[in-house]
Amino acid sequence: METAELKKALSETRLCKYLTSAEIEVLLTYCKILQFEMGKELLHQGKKTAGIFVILSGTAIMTAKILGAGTLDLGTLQRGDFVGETSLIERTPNTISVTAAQVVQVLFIAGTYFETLALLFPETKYHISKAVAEDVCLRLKELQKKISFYILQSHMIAKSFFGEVMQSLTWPHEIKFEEIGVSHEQFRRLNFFKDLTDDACDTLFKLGAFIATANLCPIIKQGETTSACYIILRGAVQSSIIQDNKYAKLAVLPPLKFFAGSSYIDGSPSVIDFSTCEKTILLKLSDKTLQFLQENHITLWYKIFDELCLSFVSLENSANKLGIRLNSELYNR
Amino acid sequence: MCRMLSYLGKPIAVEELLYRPDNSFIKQTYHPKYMSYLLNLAGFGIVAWDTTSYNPELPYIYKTTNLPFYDENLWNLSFKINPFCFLAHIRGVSYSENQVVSNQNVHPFMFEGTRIALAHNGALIDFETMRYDLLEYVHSSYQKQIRGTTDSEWIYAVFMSQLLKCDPQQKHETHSIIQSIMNTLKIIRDVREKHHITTASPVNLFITNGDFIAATRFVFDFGWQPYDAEPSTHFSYHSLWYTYGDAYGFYDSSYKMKESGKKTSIIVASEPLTEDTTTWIEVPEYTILLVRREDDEIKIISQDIVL
Repeated sequence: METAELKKALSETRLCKYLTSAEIEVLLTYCKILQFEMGKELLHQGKKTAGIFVILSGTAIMTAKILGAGTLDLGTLQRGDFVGETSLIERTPNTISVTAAQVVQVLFIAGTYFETLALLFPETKYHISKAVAEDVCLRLKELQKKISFYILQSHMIAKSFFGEVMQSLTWPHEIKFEEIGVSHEQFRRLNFFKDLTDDACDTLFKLGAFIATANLCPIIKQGETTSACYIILRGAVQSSIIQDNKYAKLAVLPPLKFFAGSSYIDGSPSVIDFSTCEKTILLKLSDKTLQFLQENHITLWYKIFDELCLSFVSLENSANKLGIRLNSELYNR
Repeated sequence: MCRMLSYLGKPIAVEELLYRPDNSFIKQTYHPKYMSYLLNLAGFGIVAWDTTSYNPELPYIYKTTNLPFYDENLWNLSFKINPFCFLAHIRGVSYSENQVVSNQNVHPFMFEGTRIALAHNGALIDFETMRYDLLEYVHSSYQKQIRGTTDSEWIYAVFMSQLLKCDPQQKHETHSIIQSIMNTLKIIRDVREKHHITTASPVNLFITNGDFIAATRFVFDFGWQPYDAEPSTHFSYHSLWYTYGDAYGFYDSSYKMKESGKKTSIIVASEPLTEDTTTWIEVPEYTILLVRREDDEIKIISQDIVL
């Protein structure tokens, strides 16, 4: 393909929809165009991928070997689609295989380049991450629908009235930094915070709200529209999908993980429920705080966005795993 | 972090699981995939049930503090033992002269006169402080059988005592096993609370009698550890996985379960036996998994742990 044609093809992809013409040019300068002959694998399930593949021409078939269900055909990728982002962002093995159905041309964004973008062109990386997060949120909604339907049909035990009453009595309350029982110095040595400048750390502490909660306390309810994000400082948060008061667990988020409802990405109600599963301390960043950070502390805001993007990718993977488990196990019967 | 491996299904030579796969159980002693900074060198044990053996309701029991990858006896036995159910454990403890490495501390534990074995992957922080408060929850017939120094053997004693209460007829039905595990965890939680112990402590249990395998993935006070603590196996969730199918073996150039419409065999393990985890399912946190054979098929039951 000629450069002009490549630029046009890329600008039509979902991954590049937020990129400017200059940013696409930068991508083309540093990333490779690869060609896969029919039958060749772009991704192999169970192996890690070194980057994102953006399909420029041709089609590729997605398949997944699922325990107890054999090899499933998951559909076809065509011009404009991209794949490999979950493995790149979460650094876990691919959950699907992708095989060229005919000659396929792709733009390959290597992981090393993706990391370099954060240093040289952070805005470009953010534009790509935003597109990825939106795509992941869409898939998460589809998965949520499928899982909800499954729960509806199943004989899972619903949460008791007593459990509901207990949960409604446990509300989070704001505490002061001094009540957390940790010094600023200890805090600064923790993951995420240790990579921040003093100024960024102080800004977070000043603008964020420290929240203490009991166990089983709802933080973001499924269906709620909130653009706030949370960082777990102590304790843990359980993500779940709820249908008819029946809970199906997705994953437990440990300290120093971020989470937010899908409204943060696309303004829609959250498809996931987040409740504490231990006594927990959180740092809450309200939508106004996030807006302020985006306008005044862009580097810090990019870092927060990266963490949230990772959290959405992890949720999608957890939802995939839950779907498989529900077909294998008699869960909470 | 220790490592555990259990199997229920069609009879299988244990060498197929202990030695053959690329992340075999024995390899996990010296080259673990997860938490690789702690090797598992403090003992190997296995209990295995074989219908063709003399007294088939009793398992073969083999325990040693020898390093399993140098153990010629284990290697030779592994070709001959062909059980339908087994539970193996390799013990990993911190590198300290305070640790007691002895046969009495090698899992799985199985008290005399009982048919149930238990192995544990985890550690109760401040166990010395809480140990004797557990005594009141241990039936007198089990109190005198505790011979080692581990928290695991005490958990086993508490569990067996709860099972006596929940299941006096010793039918070992699913609900009584799950209830006994829940009661055991509640007792430990209460004793921890009594002593104001609030530091995260993982408790992954494997329990079997040859007919069922129960496994937990659980941590008390998860997410609560000293802010300045070094990364440690003792605070985090230990992994738990399973795979099922017709029979485990070398198919299509890799070790895996042979696909089948029926679940006739299952492996439940602390980590997959192969680098490729495609055909393995990870058990989520705060979960009890119970598998048992019913009408020649393995039934998999999972339940959230909410104490």
